[in-house]
Amino acid sequence: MKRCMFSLGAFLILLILSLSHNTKVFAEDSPKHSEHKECFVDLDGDGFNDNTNDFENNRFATDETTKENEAGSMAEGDCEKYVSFDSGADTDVSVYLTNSEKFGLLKFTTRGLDGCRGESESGFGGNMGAMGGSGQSGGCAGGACIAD
Amino acid sequence: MDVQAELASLIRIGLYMNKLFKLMIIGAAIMLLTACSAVANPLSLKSDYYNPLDLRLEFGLNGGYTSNLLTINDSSDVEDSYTTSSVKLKFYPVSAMEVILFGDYTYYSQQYNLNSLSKGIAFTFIPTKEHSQFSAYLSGGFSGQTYKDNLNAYNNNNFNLMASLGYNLSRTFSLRTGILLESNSYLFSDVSDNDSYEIFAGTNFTLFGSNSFDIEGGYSSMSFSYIPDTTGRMDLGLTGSFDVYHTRGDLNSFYISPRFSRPIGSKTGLNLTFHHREFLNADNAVVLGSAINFISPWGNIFEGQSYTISLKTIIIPKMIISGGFGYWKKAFLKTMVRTDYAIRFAEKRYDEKNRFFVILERPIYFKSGGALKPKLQIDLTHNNTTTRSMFNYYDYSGFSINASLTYEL
Repeated sequence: MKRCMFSLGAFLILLILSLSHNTKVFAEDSPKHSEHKECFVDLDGDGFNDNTNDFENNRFATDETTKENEAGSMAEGDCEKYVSFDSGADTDVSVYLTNSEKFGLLKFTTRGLDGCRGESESGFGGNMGAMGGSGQSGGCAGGACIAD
Repeated sequence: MDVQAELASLIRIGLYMNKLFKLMIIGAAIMLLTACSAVANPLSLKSDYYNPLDLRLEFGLNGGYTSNLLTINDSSDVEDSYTTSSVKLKFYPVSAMEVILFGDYTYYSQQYNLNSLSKGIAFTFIPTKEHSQFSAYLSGGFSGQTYKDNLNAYNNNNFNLMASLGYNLSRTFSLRTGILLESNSYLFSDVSDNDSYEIFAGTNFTLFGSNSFDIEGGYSSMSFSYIPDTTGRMDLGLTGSFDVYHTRGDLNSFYISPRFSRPIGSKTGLNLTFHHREFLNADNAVVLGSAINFISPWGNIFEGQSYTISLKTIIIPKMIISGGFGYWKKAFLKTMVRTDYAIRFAEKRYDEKNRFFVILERPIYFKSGGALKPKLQIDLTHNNTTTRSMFNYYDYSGFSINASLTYEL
């Protein structure tokens, strides 16, 4: 019980410290964002803005090119407004994109919908196994798992 | 004597690492050859003309050493090294759908019996438009895992289906809900079969600048076979089968999980997550533990709390470094560890687990659209059980190191 309370206390202290450290990031880092602020959205929980490239001049390993989505770019102060995401035109569909590239763009819009957090260990540190994900059950190798 | 034992242990680890290193070199050579051949491979060109089927290939080679192979279950301290080779074929019949065929084989250096082949098919379908305020996600798959003859009792099939819906109230405030269906079946016995569904709902919003909050809750029900705790001593007789003592039932539970994430500086992200799961009707259910040879299907089913903190940083150019620490307080189903006990003596097992991990990734992207993704992971685990009658069976520590290369074509 003591250990549990200690962990909860540490968790809350970190939370408070983090909140007090209100860094404005990304929007101030790059000149291209000086006029438009990226609304901060973190659906994958990695602490980075989903709407911003995490790598300069490169793609991020986990989210690939879809991180380049500019849907969140807008004037400062508009982030909390109720807005329609449907532009009314099919401007997003390029005839030059392959099906896989179009699928990548679509998948970006479903961040946070591709799984639930029902298992507390599954999302922490990943498997010590092979490729994991993509419909595979289990996937453990160093833990010799047989099924989820 | 202790020094000699330590030296022997170090030499053994050295031999494992040597073997692992050789395997990784072979894997790297194969991937480099594949990469070179991909220059002239139309599959790697991003054009409908050259790649009308829009096929994507992915090869993976993964090797590791662990001081406790069965670390999710017990204190057997079986150390081993392992290698997994895997392949994925992705294709896109329409732009809203991805289909994946996959297969992998895991080879263990010493525990040959655990060698297994996994294969299956998975799909993802996203019927909504890119800029729609609504988003829908449908995925599913089948996978099968087969062991060598002496462990083929654990050959199993898994079916899963998931449907979820999201709605963006604003650019920084979204709601989501969904359902997940899953079925695990063992080919030679239905004692460990289970079917489950989980419904969940959550919200994600940003407050005070760059502070992201995500709260999710869910309810799940799993049908499974268990032995009622009112059963006396089992008389296996000539049949030797536990099946006759089992009855079917549903294990219901709910969970809630708040999460907080935000940047720390411009190149580091922080994640704090709390998780609580509670069984609603598991008090009289007993399941078999080590009787099914260490790889118990019940190892991942528990109630309790967890607190995790993780950091991800790109402070070193083009490299991703992640690390985290987690604490779990678990209560498992009443488990009968030894089969010569009377069922009524089976009791719940309470564990406390700490885990620390570090992951280094250095993805390399090619102009052709492919990528080579090397990854190194180090993992430390320590588990204590507070249930003394378990004979310290579940007190264990584990150290694992794992290196992998994935080549996407």
